[in-house]
Order: sequence, then structure tokens, then C-alpha cells
Amino acid sequence: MKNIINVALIGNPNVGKTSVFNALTGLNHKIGNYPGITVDKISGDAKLSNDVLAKVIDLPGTYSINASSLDEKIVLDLLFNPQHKEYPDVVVVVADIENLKRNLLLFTQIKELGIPSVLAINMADRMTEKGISLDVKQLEEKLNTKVVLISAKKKQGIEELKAAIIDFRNYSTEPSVNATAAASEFFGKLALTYPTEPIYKLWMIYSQDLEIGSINKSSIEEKGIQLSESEVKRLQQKKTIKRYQFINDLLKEVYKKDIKAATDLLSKADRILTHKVWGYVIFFAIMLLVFQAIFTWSSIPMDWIDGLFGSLSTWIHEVMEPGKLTELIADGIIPGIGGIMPFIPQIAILFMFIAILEETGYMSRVVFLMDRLMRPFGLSGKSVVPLISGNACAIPAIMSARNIENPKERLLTILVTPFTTCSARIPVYIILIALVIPDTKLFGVIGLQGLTLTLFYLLGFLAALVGAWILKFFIRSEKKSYFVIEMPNYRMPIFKNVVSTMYEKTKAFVIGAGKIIFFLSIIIWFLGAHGPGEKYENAEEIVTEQYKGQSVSEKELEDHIAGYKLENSYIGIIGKSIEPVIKPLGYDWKIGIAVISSFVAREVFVGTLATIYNVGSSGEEDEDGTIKQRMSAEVWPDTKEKVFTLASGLSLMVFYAFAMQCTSTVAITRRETKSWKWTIFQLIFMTAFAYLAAMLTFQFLK
Amino acid sequence: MGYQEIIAYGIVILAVAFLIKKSFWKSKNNKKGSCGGGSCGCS
Repeated sequence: MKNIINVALIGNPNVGKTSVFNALTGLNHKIGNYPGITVDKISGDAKLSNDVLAKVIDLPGTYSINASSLDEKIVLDLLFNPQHKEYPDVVVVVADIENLKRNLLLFTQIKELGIPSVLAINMADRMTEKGISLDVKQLEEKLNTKVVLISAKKKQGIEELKAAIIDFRNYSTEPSVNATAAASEFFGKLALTYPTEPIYKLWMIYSQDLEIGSINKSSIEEKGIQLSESEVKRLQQKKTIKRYQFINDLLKEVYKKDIKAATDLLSKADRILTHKVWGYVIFFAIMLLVFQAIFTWSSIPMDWIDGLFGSLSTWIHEVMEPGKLTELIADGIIPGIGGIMPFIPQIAILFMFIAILEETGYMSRVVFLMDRLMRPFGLSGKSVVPLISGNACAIPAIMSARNIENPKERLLTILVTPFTTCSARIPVYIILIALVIPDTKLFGVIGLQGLTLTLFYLLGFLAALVGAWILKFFIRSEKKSYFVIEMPNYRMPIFKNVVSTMYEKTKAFVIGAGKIIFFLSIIIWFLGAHGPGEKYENAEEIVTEQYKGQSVSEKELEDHIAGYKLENSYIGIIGKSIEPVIKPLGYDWKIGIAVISSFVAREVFVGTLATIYNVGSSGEEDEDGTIKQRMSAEVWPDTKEKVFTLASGLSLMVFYAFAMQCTSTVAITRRETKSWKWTIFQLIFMTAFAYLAAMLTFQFLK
Repeated sequence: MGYQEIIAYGIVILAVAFLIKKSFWKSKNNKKGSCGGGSCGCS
């Protein structure tokens, strides 16, 4: 009589499970080179030996055992229910030789279910060409399991896999990693209450609110075992960290990838792209290309949007009755919002390039390059992700530092991350570069404006490195954590993914910035269009008297009146009072107000200036003037020299490169460090450093 | 005070209230975080 066993195939998406299924069963199910081909379980019969037949069930690809998607629910239903007619006698976890770290997370979860497991490492035929070596024996010992190297496509190792499956009764069902040590009291109670059930299964029932057999969350709680929602989350986090610590340590010992020994074309490309000299040269060239494109491609839509808002202000003045509401809309809200909207094309183009670089797999190579660069500055390998993602926004970047286990390394990373050039700096840089850097080409090829933007990006990164180097003398960390990164294969970017990332990120920027700017421009308009005392009230008479007998046109006189009113408005009084502090940096009081208001968020700078200039103009012929034209026309009242020069423009850019102009980042630093001391230190250090650097820049260049 | 002034100053008061609320009141909305934050349940 033949022996029939149930075999479940499980693995991450795109590891070749269906190829293994086809190789075992001799069937021909559809396979593909992208994740998600198997969306439901499929089954087929396989003859493992003359005596043993197997019913092989190919489960949908999953990264972990959670009931978060339908695919994962199918996996759970089968693996958690021994009464299920297809409940497996043995689970074959299929992993990809190039992505073992991610694949092993799922394996350690499966191993905790108490079902005999075999780890089938697929695509093993690529090991030589990829320069990979694996100590299979040690891996088996540490994972407490049977490991088989296979290549399902080339039908290599399939007989060994069949033999390993037949031998399933001899395998240990003990977990590879004791993740329950993360909360021994809670898990101990569970084990005592349900001695016949695997702990991990009970934990999944409790944390995922599942019902398996007669056990559900309520029945567990009725037995006096209870955790709050936040405790459950904390425990999930602890368990995941414990698993990854185990996997990282294991891979360090058994898995080696020597890209110098790799022979395939992509590995050769990798050798150049991650080369200690050429890697950085290529990265710099790509950055330069991206920023050149930002300037070249965005100039037409930028001018169009800028002009549109200018015309909108004029139109509002024409169609609405004169009055405070009209002024608020036409001189406050529209210029404020219009100050930031022209930067949508630049932001969209930047995110498009970032999405393309991520999609192709190049960004992982950049992370690898940066890891090497950061180490001499005292940063750990795990600081790479926060510092790279800080180029989009410091808030998620600081939050991602949670993955750094060592508290001192984490603190160091949090303190320097805001130096990296977030997207909120883009509007400030672009408007100032367009104003003070000539639109010429170096050697007839490299645009000077794009080059300046690239250099400011690098300046931010350099500031983070130098900051870390200084701070490491005060925040000493004896043990450095290691960072393991998977190098995904190169692939063509998927158009839909690029467009959707570009859209989502741009939308988030516009809504996030737009909301704050909307409300701030209302307040700035109020402070600029109202003032205390007689000087403001009688501005018209005072200025008319001053220019009596002088040959000034009516337009000029109205501009002088508007300027006088602005100087004596609430915002003018505030601005004038801070002018002595900011004058050494080359800024007038209007820039000072924009700098102060942009403490909320950097992108507010341009919107504030647009509102101030609009309130301070006569509101006639220059209504259509774009923010760039208005900034360019600004002069010092005493010397009549331009306010925005190379010296003051670069000084402002240097200030924004280093200053902590973002209240959300301050809040997130406080939350993540749980320390006002370090939060205030970061704020003061960055602001003081920015002030000094900006002053030196202006004084040196003026 | 005309209708324009009433509406304009009303909007100014709302803007000030919004900024005060944003600065001093914490959001109680506890959204599910991403995997990087460790709150996705991928244990």
C-alpha cells in the first residue's frame, strides 16, 4: 500500500514556488518573473518514491504569516488548522538564494508552528555567477532543519528535495529562534493554559484576532491572559527585532557574497556601480543629471503656474468689490498659495527620478555606497536608511531610526538626519538659485544652476557626516551594529508604480505645505495690512507731504505709500526690530519675517515673501509680476542696491541648508528621543551653526 | 463694519485658532504604522 502525504509549498512572492511545484508534480502551471502569480492555492500529485506519493499544495506567496490580505488568509487557514483535510505533514519553505534574509523571516515563523519543515533554497545555480557561498551544514544546524539547494528551472536538486520530504518524520519541530523570550511571562501563561497548542499559533490568534477551532481572542482573555493594544504592538515589534537579530547573526556566519568573484553581466555592472571610486562618480553624475532635468524641464510649467496666480490676483481685484475680504484673497491667500504651487513640477520631477532609481534597483546600490562612506564618521550601517530617506522628508527618516537597536547610535542618527536635504528645501533653493546664479553652462554642458542645486544636496549630506563625526566624541558607542541589505535584481521600472509614487508624494507635499501656507498667509496678510498708531493710519498724507514738489509719477507715489504702510504695519514693526540681528547675514526685515515664519516649515519662506511683497505693493501694474520678478526688483531703501545678490542669496541657502526650520521635526525628535535636552540641543546647535555659516558666507562674498 | 470686514476678520480668527490648535493639541488619531515602524504586525 502506498503512503500518501500532504506537502505545502510556501515562500515569499517571486521565489519560484510554482517552478518547484511544476518540478515536483510534472504539471505545467503558469509561472512569471514577477510577484503574485500564485494568488490561490493550487494542488497536484507528486510521486516522491515508489512507495510515497504526495499531494503538493502551492500556496500564494507571502512575506509573513499575518491575516492582512486574502492570500495570507489562505495560508493561515491551512497551516493553523490540523483538522483541515489538506493540513500538511511537511512544509517546504522555498527561498531565493539572493534574498535569504527576507525569506528566512517567513521560515522562522513557519518553524514555530511545530510542523516539520524543509528549507529549499532555489536558484542555487546562480551562486557561482553571483559570487555567493553558503555553509549549508552550519545553516541546517542553526535553523534546526533540513536544507536543500535546488534550481527548479534547471531541475537540479529536485531528487534531493523529494528525498528530504520523504524523511520529514526525522526533523525537529522545535523553533529556530525562541522569539517568545521577548515576553516570557505572557507566553509562559499561554503555554500553561493551552499545553497542546503551539505558542506561536496562540500568539497569532491573540494578536491578529483570529478564530481557529474553539480558540479565539476572547476565549484567551477569559482565562485571564490579557494585553493592551499598545502592549501587543510593542511585543510584535520586539519579536520581529529578535527574529532579524537571529537572521543577521546567522547570515554573517554562513552566507558570503563576494561581488569580485561574480561573473554575470549584472554583477559586473554592480562592481562598477558600487566601486569605491567609480561608484561615487556615477552617483554624482546621476544626481547632476537629475537636478539639471529639474531646472530644464520645469521652467515652462513653473512660469505658467506663477503667471496664473498673478493673473488670478488681478482678476479677483477686478471682479470683487474693494474691501478687506478682496484684499485678503487677492493680496494674502492667492500670493501665499501661489508662492508654493509653481514648485509642483520640480517636486514631481524629483520624485519621479527617485521612484525610477528605486524601481530599477539602483537605490539599494546607493545605500551600499553610503554605508561605506558613513562608517569613518561614526555612523552605523543602519544609519544609512534614515539618512537616505531624509532626502525626501526628515520625519519618516527619524522614525525609521527605530530599527537601530543601539540607543547611542540611534540618538546620533536622529540628531544629524535633519541636515539632509528634504524636499521642503527645494522651493527655497530653486527660487534663490534662479535669482542669483546665472543660467549658463560650464564647459558648454553642465548647467550652473543644476550644479549648484546638486552641491547643496551634497552639502546637506556632508553636514550630517561632519555633525556625526563631532558628536561621536560626546555620544560614544562601543558596539557598532551591522547592516545587511539585499541587492535586488535590476529591472525595468514599472510605469504605473513610478506615476503612482510621483503622484502620492507630490500630493502629500502640496497638501501638507499648502495647508500651513494657507493659514499663515492669512495671518501675515492681517499683520501686513494693519498697523498701530498714526504713522500707519496717515501714511498717505505723510508720504505725499514727503514727496511734495518732487517729480514722482502717481504709480511711484502709490508704491512709496504702500511701502511706508508696510514698514509701519504690525509685521513691519516686528521685522524692523529683528533687522539688526539678520543684517550681518545680508537679509532685510522682509526676509527676516519670511525666515521666522518658515520656522514652521521651510517651504513657507517663498509663500511669506510673496504675501509681504503683494501687501507692500500699490496693487496696480505689477500685479502680474511673478514672485521671482518681485524678489529680483527688491532694493535696500537707503543704498538702492539689490537685496537678492549672489552673497545674500547663497547666505540664505546656506542658512536653510543647516537650520532646523521645521517644527514637525522638532516634535518628532522629542517623541523619538524622549528627551527635551537633546531636542533643544539639536535645535540650538543647528540654528546657531546655520547663523554662523550664513554670516560667514555673506561677509566673505559681499 | 461691512460684510467684507466681518468675513475677512472671521477668517483671520479661524486661521489663528487653527495654528494654535496645530501647535498645542496632539492628534489622538493612532493610525497603523508601516513595517519600518514595527507596528505592522509582521512578527
